[in-house]
Amino acid sequence: MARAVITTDFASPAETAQALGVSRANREKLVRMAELAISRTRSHRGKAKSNGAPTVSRRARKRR
Amino acid sequence: MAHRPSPEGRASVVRQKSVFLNLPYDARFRTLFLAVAGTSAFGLIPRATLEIPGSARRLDRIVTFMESCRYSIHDMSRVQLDRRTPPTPRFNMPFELGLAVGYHTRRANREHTWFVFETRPWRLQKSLSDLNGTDVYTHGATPAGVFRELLSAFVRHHHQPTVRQMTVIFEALRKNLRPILRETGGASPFETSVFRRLSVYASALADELVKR
Repeated sequence: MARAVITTDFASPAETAQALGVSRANREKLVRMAELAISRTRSHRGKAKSNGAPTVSRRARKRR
Repeated sequence: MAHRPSPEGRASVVRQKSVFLNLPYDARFRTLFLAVAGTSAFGLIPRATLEIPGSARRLDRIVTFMESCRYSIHDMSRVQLDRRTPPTPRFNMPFELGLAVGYHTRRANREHTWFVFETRPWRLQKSLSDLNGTDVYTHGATPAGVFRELLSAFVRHHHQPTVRQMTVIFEALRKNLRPILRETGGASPFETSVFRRLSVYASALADELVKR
């Protein structure tokens, strides 16, 4: 398969916003939303790991 | 004093990071979210014809737009007739693929790379046999399949994303569509302002998740 090797650096949210014509105020709002969303996924993952319980599906729990 | 690039220099840098998305749009916005999530995870800037205003001569704008992108992704999955009368197939996607191939062939330095995606294996050999011998990225219409094929198409030496990271971005886009629609007063992500904000949001998610 042909592959494209990306040699440029990662497009930052500021660069993306500028390219797409999104204002600074709106970009900052979206960045805050993203930080919140990622921190939620991280804390959720941490919690699942810390209690040491195996992941049991809802259906499996009903069967017990 | 810090060196500031000229407007031409900046445009060239942006071009190197831009991907033209040529996709079928479904009612649940899945294809759009998948493409925006996947390309943003690679640190690229998604661009789509959704950004083209209705008043401009569409074909001219599409050509200019495509030329401002280093890469293009063409999903040729939509081959069936649409339901509205008179039932017709949609020719826009193969037409835009043709424009990209023409642009790539015409440019002496071949500064445009295009990729063809499809849902089903071998179907493109029937629907568009002129492309026989071209690599087709077959994703099976699943998010994991799309992300897997993007990983086959693109490679980064630093900050190579994973399928898991792309999935997190995809899910966050889906979950946070409503607040973005509220902010813009939009009705769907197929509106320019909504698409642009979703793309910046995806870029911010990728920056948090993949780059750090």
